[in-house]
Amino acid sequence: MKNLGLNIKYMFLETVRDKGAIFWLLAFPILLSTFFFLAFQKLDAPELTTIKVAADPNNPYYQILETIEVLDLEQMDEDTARAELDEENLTAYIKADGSLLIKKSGAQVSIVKGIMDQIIQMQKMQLPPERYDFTAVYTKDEAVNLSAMQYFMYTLIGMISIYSYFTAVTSFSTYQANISTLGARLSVSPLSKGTVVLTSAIVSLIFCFLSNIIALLHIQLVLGVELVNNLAPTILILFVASLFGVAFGAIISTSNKLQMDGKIGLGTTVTLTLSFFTGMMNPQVKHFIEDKLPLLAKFNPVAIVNDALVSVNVLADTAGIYLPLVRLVALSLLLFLISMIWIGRRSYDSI
Amino acid sequence: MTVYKAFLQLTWRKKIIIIPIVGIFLAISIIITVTVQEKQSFEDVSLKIGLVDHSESELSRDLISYLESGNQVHLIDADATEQKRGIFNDRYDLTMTIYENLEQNVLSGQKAVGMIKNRQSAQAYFGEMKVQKFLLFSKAAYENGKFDTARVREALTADSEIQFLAADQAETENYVLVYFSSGAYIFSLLIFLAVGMVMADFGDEQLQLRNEVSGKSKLSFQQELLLGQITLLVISLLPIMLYPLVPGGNMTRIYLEHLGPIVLNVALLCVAILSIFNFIYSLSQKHTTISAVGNVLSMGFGFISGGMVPREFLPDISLILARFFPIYYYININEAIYQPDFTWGEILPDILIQLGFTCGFFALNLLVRHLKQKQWRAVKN
Repeated sequence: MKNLGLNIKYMFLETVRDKGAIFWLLAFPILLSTFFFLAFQKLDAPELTTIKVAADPNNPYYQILETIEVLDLEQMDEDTARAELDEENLTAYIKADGSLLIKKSGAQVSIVKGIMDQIIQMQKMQLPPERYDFTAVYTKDEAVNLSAMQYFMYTLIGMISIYSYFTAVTSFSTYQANISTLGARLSVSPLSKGTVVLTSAIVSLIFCFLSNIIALLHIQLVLGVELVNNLAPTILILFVASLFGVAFGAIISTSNKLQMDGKIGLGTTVTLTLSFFTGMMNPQVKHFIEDKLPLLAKFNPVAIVNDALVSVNVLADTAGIYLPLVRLVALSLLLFLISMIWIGRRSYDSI
Repeated sequence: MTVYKAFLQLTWRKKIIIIPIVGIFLAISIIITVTVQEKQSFEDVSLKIGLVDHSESELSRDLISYLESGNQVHLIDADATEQKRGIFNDRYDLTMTIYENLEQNVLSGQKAVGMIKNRQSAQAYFGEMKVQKFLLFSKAAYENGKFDTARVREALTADSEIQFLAADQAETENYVLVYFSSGAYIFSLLIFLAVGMVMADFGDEQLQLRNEVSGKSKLSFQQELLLGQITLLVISLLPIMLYPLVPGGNMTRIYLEHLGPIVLNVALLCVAILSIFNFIYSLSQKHTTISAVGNVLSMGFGFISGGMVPREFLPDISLILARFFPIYYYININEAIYQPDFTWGEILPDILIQLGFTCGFFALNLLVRHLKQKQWRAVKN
């Protein structure tokens, strides 16, 4: 036990002194989240209030359009409207025949078109106006505040939590004879491989967990994006994610005899792919994977972390996170077990 | 050509890791285009609606059938939490729950459909408008104890005409544009990962010491190294560049029509990033550091330059920062290529800036190496 404590201490110091590790742990999450913050600031459109449209005052539809709340109607002739449309100061110009002049498609144009369609369709229904009950509202709304910035930041946290595999790759590789001189010396020393694995795992876990916490603190406190509403389950999710990050790093490190650059490249590619499948670059990809490859979606660690964080912090649904987290822990233990087997069998004819 | 041959030998030795990386990046590029919808004319908003039907009446079926025209309606069996998750994950623009007693509620003017929507979503407002209109018309057409939905459906086929300000607004977006826009990040990261992996072996201290005392000039060494890197890049990028020829149809047609500018644009980006990579490599040979820097630069600038997010959604500060990396100019060129009034003169400034990045970082790289060599000689003496 004393040896284990000493090993942990030395490995911890070794990791702290490694500039590459510090970059991955501190600078990487901070820089990437800052880039994300810059990219997604304007993605949340302001709440829809009114849509700017124009029509000639002699337009037969003018009086009807004036009564529609969502439209901000201006009097304008067609030539002026063309200039305003080109400058994008106007969404649509409504002509006397009911047609719309627009610059480009979009949700607001569709709403204006929907209103004009309704006027034309009511004419086609050929029913007296008193048959229409304009006072009745048939829909009951529940409007929720959901932000695209939050969506992308949760996927980023998901990715960063798995990206912490890097520390584990470094730690586990330190003890491999073909990677470092320390590893070569250790492989002929009486130090048990179990101690080696345990030391690497504990140190990596501490670093991974710290990295995730730092990323979260940076996003929440420095960038001001509210991600944590439910602290205790969030900490639990990040801890389990770190555990997986370590297990993933262990498997990357022990599954092959590649040099460090190969191991890092392999880990980076797998992590990016899993993040991509979680919808980090395009949310539609997440749905595509969920629909076409449901098993992959179910066991994708980045997706599990992302969904769990959304559940507890956005949807206030804590009960739903335990099964996916158990799945993630089971996956981590499986990877650890395989790593142990590989480490146990590892021998070198030449280094 | 000793350096060039050595580079290729090292590349061959790393094939087991480089081939899967290229394969995965190709798959990512393909999946991105699969999720894109092509716009060729006026595009009415196509809503993604998650719908729970508790009524299962004739009126509810007619309402669903109406919503299905032009929208993606997913009949689901999900509670409110899962519906909100679907909206948060952008699976749905809004969700609707048709109440069990839909018909009675419509007749008595009561709430008949529950909706969950994002407060900020104009799409959701549009969806709500559609439902309200259908039920308003249905009630108006209620006669002799039944809803005359055939009449309603017939009336709903009428619509207003749309005219674009400029006649050539159509086909402004296509698969090829999206494929190569999102490709910027992939090209950049591929350079840092694949070339970085081979270059890691050149960073060996013993090898560097031997290079310092060898008779080969620095310039010649760098030229051969660059040639090797470009060879590796061409091979790695070939599958990504050839893929648009596979699906046929519009994608292949647009790709072939714009092949020259596309290839030039990709080449300019890759050479510029390669130059930046070599500069970073001259400062640090540690693959872990290069990989981290490559990840941050590629993904970060990929996002803030408009590679993943349309530029109209990006704040000014992002676009100003993005100008410090070649991806921004690559996206500029990529967006200009498909415009009907595209001219080479229009993209000339962007081409020159890309060349400026390449030459500038190549010169910086040589300068750092020269200074390091000088330092090494001073230590030796």
